[in-house]
Amino acid sequence: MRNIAKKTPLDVLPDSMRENIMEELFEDEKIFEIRIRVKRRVFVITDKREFEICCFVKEDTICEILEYATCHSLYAYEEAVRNGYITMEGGHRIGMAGQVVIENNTVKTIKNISSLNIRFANEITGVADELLKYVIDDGKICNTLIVSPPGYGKTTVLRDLVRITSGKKINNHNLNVAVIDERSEIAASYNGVPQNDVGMNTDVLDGCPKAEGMIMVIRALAPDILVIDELGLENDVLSLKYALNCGCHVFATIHGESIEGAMRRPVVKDIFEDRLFDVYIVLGEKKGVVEGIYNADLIRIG
Amino acid sequence: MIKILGMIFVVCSTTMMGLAYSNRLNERLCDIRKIQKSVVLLRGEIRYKGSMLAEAFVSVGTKSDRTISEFYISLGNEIRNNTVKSMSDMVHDCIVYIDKTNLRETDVAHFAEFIGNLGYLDKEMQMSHIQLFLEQFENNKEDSLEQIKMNSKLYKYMGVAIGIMVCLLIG
Repeated sequence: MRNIAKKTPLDVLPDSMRENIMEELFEDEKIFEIRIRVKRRVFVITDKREFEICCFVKEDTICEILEYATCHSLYAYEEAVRNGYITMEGGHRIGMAGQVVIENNTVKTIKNISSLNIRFANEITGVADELLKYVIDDGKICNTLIVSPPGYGKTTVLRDLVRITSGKKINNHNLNVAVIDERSEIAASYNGVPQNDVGMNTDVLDGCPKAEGMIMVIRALAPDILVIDELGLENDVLSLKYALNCGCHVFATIHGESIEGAMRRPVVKDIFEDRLFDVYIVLGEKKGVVEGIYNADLIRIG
Repeated sequence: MIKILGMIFVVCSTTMMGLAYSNRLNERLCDIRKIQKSVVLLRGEIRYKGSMLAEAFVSVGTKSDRTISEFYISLGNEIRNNTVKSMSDMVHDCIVYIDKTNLRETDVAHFAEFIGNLGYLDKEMQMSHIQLFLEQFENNKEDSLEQIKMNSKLYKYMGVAIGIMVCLLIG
């Protein structure tokens, strides 16, 4: 029997599956994802390639993996299962699909889970170093909005921004940052403890809805910078305005191919028209690449 | 003189043995109550804090009596240290700590089965499971009280009686 500290999701896989994957992996290859589906082969996506392994997956295998990943406490992840994923120690995420149980027109849980998508946490630091001069301009913190299509690295950039601004000294004061991490994507908290590096002076409200979280954090934590991911709902924008009116600075992200694309959504249009943010960072062209940096008047500055 | 001292020694020994047997019945009742109390604490951990089993067991262990705290803490650490074993295997390994109590084999088996089935399905299921165990374990407590009622005095008197009988036979 193995007796190991849980460091990677490989540790919760059945022995045979893990051994097959390790056999196929090259020495310096990094795993990004493992896709496991009942009665299908297992697919592994790395930084260099994608490959499949000869490992037939049974329904019991999925249950076994979830048991080990949740330390036999799946009940404690009810809310996470309802959202379709659980976060493991280390910030790794296990997405799941199966039969959804609906109660009162809302998702109650997922049963008969038939596929898992294990995403390895690969924290990337340093991506926001070049952006710091736009975000903190002459000792003044700029409200910053990152606009990006899905999967282009906006959360990675946001996380790195949090890391480099947290604890930064401005006018003899170390900046306090508060993160409303609704989907545990920024800090990837496990049992309330951030697994990603989000800086020395950062408080994280994990799993909290953005609208409520913003108000809670302003009242209780007095942050200099409030961080939220994926603005989009009307309540989020109302709470955002409340936060800005309280004198809080905000870093946020939003989905959109471009500023014009994002503005097509009625709720989001107000954000730009009311000039709620001082700096807009647009990601595009390729993953992780900054397409342009714009000021509040939507004039390109970088 | 030596004979009289010997007889006194025999009567005292058998009386002490009778008392010990009788005391064991009382100790079993105490241990049953401790188990029940620990399970109530466990229920609180799961219901109000939503704790995972590892944390819940360690927390309950620190608040429980020494006789059962070792079981909870070792099981919690076993789960936390990520040994890739089934829940029932881990319980089987840790239940040896409960053997040090005065519980009967049936009590221990019942408790082990209950702990081994924890973690299945949602929080509501955990609550139902705990409630069911508490109700069933109450029967064990009642059985213990009945045993005390029936046999406690019997063991004490038998201890004395056997001592006197041995003395008469020797004498």
